[in-house]
Amino acid sequence: MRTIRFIFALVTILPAMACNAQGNKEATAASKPGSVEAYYFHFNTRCVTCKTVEAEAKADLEILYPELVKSGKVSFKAVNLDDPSSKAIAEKLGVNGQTLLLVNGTQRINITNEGFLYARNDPEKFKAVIKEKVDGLLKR
Amino acid sequence: MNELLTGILESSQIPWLSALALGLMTAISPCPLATNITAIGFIGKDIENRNRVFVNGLLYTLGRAITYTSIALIIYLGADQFKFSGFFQHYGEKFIGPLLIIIGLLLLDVIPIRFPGVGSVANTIQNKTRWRYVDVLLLGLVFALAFCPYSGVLYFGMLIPLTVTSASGLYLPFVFAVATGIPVIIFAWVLAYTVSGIGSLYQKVKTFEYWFRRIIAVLFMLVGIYYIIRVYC
Repeated sequence: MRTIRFIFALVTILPAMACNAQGNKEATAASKPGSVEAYYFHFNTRCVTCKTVEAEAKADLEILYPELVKSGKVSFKAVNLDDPSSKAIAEKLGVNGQTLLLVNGTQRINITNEGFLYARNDPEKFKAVIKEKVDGLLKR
Repeated sequence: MNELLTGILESSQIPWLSALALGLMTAISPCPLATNITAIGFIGKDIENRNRVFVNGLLYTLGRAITYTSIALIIYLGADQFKFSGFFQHYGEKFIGPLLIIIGLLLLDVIPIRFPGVGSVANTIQNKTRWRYVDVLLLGLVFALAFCPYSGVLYFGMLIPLTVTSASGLYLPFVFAVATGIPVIIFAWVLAYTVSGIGSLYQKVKTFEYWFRRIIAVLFMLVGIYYIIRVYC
């Protein structure tokens, strides 16, 4: 019985001992007309590909639309779904899991699959996908 | 390899080939590496019997297939795909760390409880019960639930849409599961083949097996701790 109690304590305490709560920058969703907001939703657990998807998407937007990024018309936000403060934006955009989403008002384009397929293997192709989708949204 | 599989996925008009490519991409990605290593050890634990290792591998894959097909079936029958995938992506990896530690302790005989299928080191060697294959099946079943971020996207984002469009697609998760299991089976078998080749005497292999099982138990606990740190930090 003592052993079981020890194991229970071990399993419960370990996560608390091993970790520090990680903060998350609060994200807001207020699309302006003619603007595109890119959101990358993730959890605490992040694999190499996940980090690459985020980094590539952010860098591509900055390279493709430097002026619009400066003026705030094109923006990129990473949102940690494990952080309670992300609940509002996740609910608003209807996101439950890891997602790379381009938003313009009510228009939403989910490019998660493309991100995970190309961000590591074919970054140029990923950039082309982002350009195509963002250009389309900006024209609306 | 990944480029090749992505190429197949893009150009393939054949659903089973896409499912196969997605499964292999999941299997070789670094994301589920920790669970794969643990699985290889567990499957290969019956090191003196290569056929047994092979059967273990098949059962492990069958366990994975049951999980993947069940989830697809539940979504096909009307469950909210996005909520479901969110749930698994959120909690899939969270239970695996504590579970691995508990399995490791069970294997080491620290917990004096007998579960069908999870025998202690001594128990599994001595008793050939009808439960002897159940543990690997259960391991496959549970490990498939541990969706890491990458495999979550491949399964829920790409395989499920292919699968749930019609009832005829419901075999695809099985193909996906087989592909995720193939590398694990191959590695476990190579391990068993190599080790049983080294030991000239049966008893030597037996001794090795005894210690190998203990190493596996420790490996379970180490990987469990790794998952706890990874997921909760």
